[in-house]
Amino acid sequence: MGLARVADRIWTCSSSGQCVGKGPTNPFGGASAPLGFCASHERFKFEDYTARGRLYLSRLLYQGNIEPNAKDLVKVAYTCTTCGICDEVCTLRPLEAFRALREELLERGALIPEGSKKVSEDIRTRHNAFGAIPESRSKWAQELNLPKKGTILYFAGCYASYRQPESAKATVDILEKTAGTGIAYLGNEEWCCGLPGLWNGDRDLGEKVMEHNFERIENSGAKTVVFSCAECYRTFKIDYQGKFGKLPFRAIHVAEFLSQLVGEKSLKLNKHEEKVTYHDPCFLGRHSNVYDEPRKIIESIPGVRLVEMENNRRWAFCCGSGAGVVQASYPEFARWTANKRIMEAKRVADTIVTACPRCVENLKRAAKEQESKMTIYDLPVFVAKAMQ
Amino acid sequence: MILSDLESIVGEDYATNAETTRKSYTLTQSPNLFFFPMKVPDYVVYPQTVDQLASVMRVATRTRTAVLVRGSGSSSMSGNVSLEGGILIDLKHMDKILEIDEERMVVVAEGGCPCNKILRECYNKGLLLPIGPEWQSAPQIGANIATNATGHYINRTGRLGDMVVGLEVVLATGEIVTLGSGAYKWGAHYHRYTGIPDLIGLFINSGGTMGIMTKVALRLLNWPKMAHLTYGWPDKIRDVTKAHYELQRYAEIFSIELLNRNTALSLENIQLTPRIKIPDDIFFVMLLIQAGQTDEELEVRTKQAREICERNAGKDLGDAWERIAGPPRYWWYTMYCDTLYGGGLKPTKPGAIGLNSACTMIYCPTTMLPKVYEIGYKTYVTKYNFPQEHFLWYGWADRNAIGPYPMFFFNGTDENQIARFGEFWREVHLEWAKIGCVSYNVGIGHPKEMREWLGPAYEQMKKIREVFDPNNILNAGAV
Repeated sequence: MGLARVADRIWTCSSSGQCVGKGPTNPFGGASAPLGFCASHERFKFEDYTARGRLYLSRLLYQGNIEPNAKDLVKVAYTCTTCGICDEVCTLRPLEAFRALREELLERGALIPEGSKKVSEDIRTRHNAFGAIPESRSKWAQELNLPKKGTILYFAGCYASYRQPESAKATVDILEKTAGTGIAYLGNEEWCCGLPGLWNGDRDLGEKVMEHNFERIENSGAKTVVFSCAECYRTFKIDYQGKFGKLPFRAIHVAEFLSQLVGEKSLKLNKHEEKVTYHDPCFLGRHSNVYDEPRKIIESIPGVRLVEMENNRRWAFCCGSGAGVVQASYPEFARWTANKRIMEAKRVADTIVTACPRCVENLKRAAKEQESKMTIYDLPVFVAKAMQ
Repeated sequence: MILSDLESIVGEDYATNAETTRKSYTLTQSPNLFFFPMKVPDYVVYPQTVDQLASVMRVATRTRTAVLVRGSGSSSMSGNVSLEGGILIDLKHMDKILEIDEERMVVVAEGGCPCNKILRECYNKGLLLPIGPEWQSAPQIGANIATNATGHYINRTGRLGDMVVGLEVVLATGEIVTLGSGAYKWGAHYHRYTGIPDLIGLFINSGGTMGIMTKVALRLLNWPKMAHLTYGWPDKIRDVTKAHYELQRYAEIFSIELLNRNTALSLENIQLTPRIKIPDDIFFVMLLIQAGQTDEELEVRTKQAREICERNAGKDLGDAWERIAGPPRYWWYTMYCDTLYGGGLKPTKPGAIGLNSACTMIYCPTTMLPKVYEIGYKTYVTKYNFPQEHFLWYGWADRNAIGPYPMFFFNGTDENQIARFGEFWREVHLEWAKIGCVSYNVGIGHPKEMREWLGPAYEQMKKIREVFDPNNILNAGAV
């Protein structure tokens, strides 16, 4: 844990400045990283808020040349939105080092943001990221009578369970209509996937909830686990796999599931005239390399016209929530980042479809702040609408 | 006091004395990090206009505070870290292209404008600023002029400094001066020489010691048709040198980049580009660009280049350029140097961390290349016992000379290795200097003897500098 596991990365940053994002990576046309892609650098201006700045400060911390509670060090560490664009432009793939930096700071007693501490405490005591009553996690599914065992299991995640139940219901609705088999659900046995702990430095906590969920899913007999949350999906695909080895079940995002059905032409979608744009969630897009599937689904709805934002796919700008860490720790900055994305979306459409409930929430908040008519849909909700 | 002065000039969001910010500006690609005393700046400030910058300089002069102007911080030369503390000025926010005049074939940009941004906008108009696009996305035009950057395309056209036709500079006193034809009341930037001695030359390759370039005007070329060739040679540097020389003298080659095998293969290690199939018997690789304004001209010039390579025992490596570059093409430009510097070399022992690098740049007449290579190799490998596979070589043709850019690696966590590398670094530069090589790097990255051996020229430079900077605040300690 901590910086020891990323020593190679923090030691060999060459200060190339690729992560600063001030100039095009390709000067002669063609694919290029967009300018200004690092949200924290754009907002806070100074070098320490770049990937190389964080790598170097990590090195200094590791060497003992800066103290964990040095002024602004925690802010520097916790304002990275973990969007992963720096991994796209730098061979060192620095993002993992920023997780390790947070682990190191927590381990060494740094005063980490209260918001992050609260989220960790909520997960520790109530097994969800909101501190809500654990027993109400499955309230959205009360009337659905979903079994706890089955070959296909839906992992709702904290957001769908507590804040966006329409997304959970829409996902189950779609799965039940198309999967050809009953959908299982862990109910209140489902805990937070572990993402907040893994990304705010509390790795122990993250791993503890991972162990719980893994055991429960194994016991359910599920061979396929479907996620509607990009963050839960990424956590299972990468972090659970990293911890437990090859998973005994297939983890897929509902976008992948639906895209398959589109390819088989077995999805019945009604005509629906609308111009929409798609926001690539960082944890589904860059982190998990799922770009085409959501687009395929959107474009298969008769009457829907998909228009891309200027920065899309691997270069999509972040919604600002930063795995919930930035949202909890520096909400003003999270909103600032979301506002920029809304302004970008406004240039092409009045409707955003995305595939992550945290993106939905953050973008909605920003749209409201701008008094914008922008409508934001989670993908399952958008598809369910077209299936009615 | 100084911080509040700075904040009142640029705004509170653009000036700071936060420890994390100040320390983050001590990261450099230069070997300064390991071998030379650096100081953490006391303040960091981001001016957004030339007037703000001038006001900052007036504060610095009044308070006799050292100032370092930093571009992207990606230079392997020594001018991007503070030697005396004080104020560090980051030019990132002065990054606009002000004008591209297609008729006059001139671009005017703010000093903090990334070179790649200029390259791209000029490319879109069919114009070329002949500087190396491989220097990633961050390097800024002002800093590139202050270090007289090199790279691709320079063999026929000259280095970046040769393309400058105008400057706006802020002196240490805060005075703003425009140079070149743009200085005339009714003039525009298009010509460098204006009936007075060439003051522009004082700022080129100045390493930030003479003044701060806030606006630059550069002449452009019409974008030529280009052909990319790759030729290889076994470990026979004399044949390589002869080909190199003839390409420069007779073929007016547009660009030559010369790599040794270690350099070419280091890209394989990161597995981001297709596997390079450099044959086992090839040790030196020459990446050539030939250019012409018409297809016919290009054909003739390319044929001539091929003939020169082949009569000097060069082997046509076909599409190896594309393999080294790798699709998409821009990986070459963006990943190459970054990879070499940091990630491209495998650690020598399992579990060992990656290595740190120090690269240097010297100049020599092309015909001296074998001797220069031999000194580099023998000193690094034979005398100081570093692994031969960590001796990376590349360099660019520059008209009648070659600019070797060798890169040497060491383990930056091993105190013994750091000390040994420091001794090597000093010795190899002195040995090169004794056979006539020059370093063009301003600053302390090279042994001070290399500057002192310039004799009266060095003393006169210091006197001129005193006129511009009587308090010796700009990049204090570098000269």
